[in-house]
Amino acid sequence: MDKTRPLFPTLLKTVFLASSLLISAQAHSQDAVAPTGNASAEALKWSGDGLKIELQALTPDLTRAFFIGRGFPKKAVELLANEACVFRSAIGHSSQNSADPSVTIELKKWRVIKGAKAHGLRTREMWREIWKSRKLDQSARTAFHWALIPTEQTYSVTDYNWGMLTFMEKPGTKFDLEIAWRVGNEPKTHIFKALQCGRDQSE
Amino acid sequence: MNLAKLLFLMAMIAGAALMIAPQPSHAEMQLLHKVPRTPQAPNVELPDLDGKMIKLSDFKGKVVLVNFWATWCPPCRKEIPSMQRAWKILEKEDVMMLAIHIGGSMDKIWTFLTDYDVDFPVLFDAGGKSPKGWPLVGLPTSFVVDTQGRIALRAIGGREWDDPKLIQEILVLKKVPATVPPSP
Repeated sequence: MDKTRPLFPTLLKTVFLASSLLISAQAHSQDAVAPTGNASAEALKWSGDGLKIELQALTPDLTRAFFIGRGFPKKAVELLANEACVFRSAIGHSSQNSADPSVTIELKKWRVIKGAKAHGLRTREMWREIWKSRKLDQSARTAFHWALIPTEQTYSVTDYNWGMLTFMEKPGTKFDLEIAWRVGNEPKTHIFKALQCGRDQSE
Repeated sequence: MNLAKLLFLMAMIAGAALMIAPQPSHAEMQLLHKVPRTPQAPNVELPDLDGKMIKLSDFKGKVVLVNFWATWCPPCRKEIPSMQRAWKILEKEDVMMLAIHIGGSMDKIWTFLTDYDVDFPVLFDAGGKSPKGWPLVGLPTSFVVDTQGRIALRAIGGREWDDPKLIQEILVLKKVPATVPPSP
């Protein structure tokens, strides 16, 4: 039992914050707002050039809750909560015209920009190697793979996916995000300014 | 409250919190898309929630709607009620439906499905191996396999499956001859 004791304050805090989020999120409208990164209850919605995207930072506690629920051990959960900067996302084709070309996202071309520095996202394939070296249980690896947005995905009209994105920054970090996609074969980019990784209210 | 109960409660609350987050609306129009070159559907052999082994090849000659999903995926959860309504229509038309849960545990799926009155077959793929060979990279994704065992249609993301237009697109595949006529 001693091993479980340190977990309890975090777990209780998570239950409390998740409950608060439920209540506050229900009170929010569907209007597009920029995420503040505080309670992570607000989602950024954007659409343009065939792409529709929603981004919402998860707090470290919500990240813990999600991945503990998927059978992740504490060490892996803490890595995700403290270093991964997890965003929930929904990405899809924005058009309602069935004749429009397909849209392809390419996460390998997305950039996290902080001042003059930039780096890429950590994709499923990169995480797979990390979990393999950490000998993570196969069921947790499977859940993780499918919980992340695919590294490359082509959407036809009305298609969309849901999944997590990992930007690999500390909680509360502010950054710009350059996203890249193709409409048919035509490359497109867009920059979201001043996104912020989720942080717990006590931080 | 013991640790297991607390973890379960926490996961359920977090799941609900993630689920209520806004998603792209597909209310205006829904489409099933033709799969280029209609590849042969890889066979799937998995246990259902009673532990009985089910094979896709058991339904040779039938149209089969194959849905890949997970309990923690909000659009997957959202489409389950409409899948059940569609199943009530498709079952009478001799069309099969298989919902394949990727990863997780049987207990969690059981618990989750107690909130949904579903009676279409739900298969359990603990190791997440079943998508191999299917043109599938994200959840939910659904495919309609035609009477010749080919992947004819696909939908990436959730759908309202009881939409008469989608039902019609599925039923049309019943007209495909179950066997390929020999070449002259």
